[in-house]
Amino acid sequence: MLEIKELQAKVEDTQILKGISLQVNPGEVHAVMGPNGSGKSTLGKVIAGHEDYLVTGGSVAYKGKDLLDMEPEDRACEGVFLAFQYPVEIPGVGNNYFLRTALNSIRKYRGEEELDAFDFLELAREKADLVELDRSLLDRPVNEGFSGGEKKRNEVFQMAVLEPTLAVLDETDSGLDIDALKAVADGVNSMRGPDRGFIVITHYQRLLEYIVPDYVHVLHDGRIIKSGGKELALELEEKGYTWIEEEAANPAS
Amino acid sequence: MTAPNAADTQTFLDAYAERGKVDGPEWLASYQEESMKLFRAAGLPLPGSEEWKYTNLAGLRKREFALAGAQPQQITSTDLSELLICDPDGFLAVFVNGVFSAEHSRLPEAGSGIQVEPLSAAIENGSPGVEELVASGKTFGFESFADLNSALFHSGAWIHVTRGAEITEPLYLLHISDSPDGSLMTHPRNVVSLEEGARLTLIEDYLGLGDSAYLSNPFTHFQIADNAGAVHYRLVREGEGSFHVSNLGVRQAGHSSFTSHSFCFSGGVVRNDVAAFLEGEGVECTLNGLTVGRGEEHVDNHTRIIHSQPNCNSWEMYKAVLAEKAHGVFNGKIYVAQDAQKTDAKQSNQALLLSDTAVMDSKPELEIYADDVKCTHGATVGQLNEDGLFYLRSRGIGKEAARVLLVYAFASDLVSGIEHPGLKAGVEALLFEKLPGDCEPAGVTVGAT
Repeated sequence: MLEIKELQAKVEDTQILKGISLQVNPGEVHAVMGPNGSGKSTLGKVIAGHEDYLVTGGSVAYKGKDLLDMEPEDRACEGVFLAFQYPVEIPGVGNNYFLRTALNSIRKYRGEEELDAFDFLELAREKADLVELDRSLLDRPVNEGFSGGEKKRNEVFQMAVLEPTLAVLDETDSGLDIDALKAVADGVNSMRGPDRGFIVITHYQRLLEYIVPDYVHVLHDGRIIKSGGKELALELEEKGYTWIEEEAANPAS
Repeated sequence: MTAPNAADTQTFLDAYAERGKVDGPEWLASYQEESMKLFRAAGLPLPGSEEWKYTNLAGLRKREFALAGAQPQQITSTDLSELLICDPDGFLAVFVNGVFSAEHSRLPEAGSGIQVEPLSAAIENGSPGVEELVASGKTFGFESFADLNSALFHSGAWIHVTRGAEITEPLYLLHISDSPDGSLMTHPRNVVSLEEGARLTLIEDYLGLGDSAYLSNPFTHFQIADNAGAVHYRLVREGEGSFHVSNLGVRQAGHSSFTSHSFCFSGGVVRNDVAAFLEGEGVECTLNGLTVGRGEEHVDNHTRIIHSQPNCNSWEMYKAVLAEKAHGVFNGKIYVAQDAQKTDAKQSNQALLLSDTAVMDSKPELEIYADDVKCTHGATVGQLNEDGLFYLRSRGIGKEAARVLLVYAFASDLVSGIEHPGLKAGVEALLFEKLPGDCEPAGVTVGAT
């Protein structure tokens, strides 16, 4: 479904990604872990198509198409979703209206019938309850005045409504208390299925107790330096990142 | 003595001479003569003067203008319904090229608590207070164009709401300018008075047909008695070649309220002056304004709020969305006299520039002589939030639609302040029409409920 090959990207004059290769198949959950500054968030932004990130090499194929050649909105319409690490506040635009506009753009792109306000509201309420997002937030301006936890739930809520094929969660766990973390994880788990792939970007192993990954990749200085199963996350939790970095620096030892 | 820019005023002096003395009472003739003298002495605002620093009238100075005749001008009724911004469920007074059109208007009946008639008729009939109220136009500190209006006005609306009358239907004044030969000028004078405890919603709509030049120079003033309240909407939808220079003066007595929502959607060179005098205790005054400019449109909003009594509140929010080479100006003065303790005044001016060539000049002026007051002001000029744009696009919303949504969001608090649903829908439709790109259908409410 997603095939990243030797991906390199920079922001302004700083090279962040220095050759990442990663393949995600339908039904798989991949965790991408790594210390601050390793390039985790950049990977998410590049997949979503942020214009500040310039791809300088490599390729990303998504469902057989060149993802890097697509506008951000077209990627979304093709089923790519990024849950933002820092969701953006948009004063003046109601959360419901925003998401209905998004859903209908996607439906239109796919040649499906658009949902009217009534049908959308029914869907939105169902999904809000799923991720335990307070329904009153649906009527508020997008993310404005939301707590950190509410913003993250709102991201997962949007994902639940838009039903992407490939979801990238960028540090969705940061700043969440345990209840919020569980709610977010439950929302994600309810969406796991044979046709959907996930990339879960996180700094800590904690989230992975609730969203159990099929694969774990460790990112360091713009490269994946180690990949393994879910047990790799536990090892990282115990020993920190340093041993892997050292191991990567001295492969012989 | 000749004014330094006498040549520029000649076309107005000629029009005044050609028209001659208007029919009517002696006071009117002397009032107009006196006003013409003031205008002639001061002339048009000089380039580079402080109050006109950012607004250049060179284009206006080059032109010659003539008054429309006093005879009713024709438009067809079917045209009219298309020209209205919303269905006027209340009263409607239509003026075409400054002349009242009885045919298209729907005025309230006598004894309904509100009197609306053409100002010329009110003057002719000697409506109580008409002389004093017309003359009070001199007391707002407006110059030049206001004097020109006083000298040359033929009509406009005379609006009087009697004590305690709460007029629930809005009164819609539509001023249409149709100037195919590019020489029309109109000087509508709207005189509004509310007796104690009266309530009124007034819509003033200035609409131009066609792109040729004309001068639209309206002057509206409100006299609001104790405990009375007026809600005022002002729409500028002038033609591309127009010069729209307006003056709005407001006098408020104790515990009265005045709320003005001004929307400028089109016009060549637009200058709006507002002066609100808060002259009793416990007065509330709100001045809101939204400018949407593109092409080479120039919109200059000058406001003055004068707090002279204690315990008054004023709120002011002016926003501008400027695309292409549009130029916006905001000059907001708040004056707090020594006696005006416990004044609470908030002023905010925000501009959104959609191109590198759009310009905004913003100048707050606070002059405060009382020591126990709360006065704040803030001005921001910025571009569309790139993070917001990416966020919307990442959810599948196309680039243009996302831009429109963000611009709409910027303007939404001013649109959502419109209480009249039909007018709100009309303003939303105009806003989307004016913005580039894929537009939402009219009537959607984007903002949070």
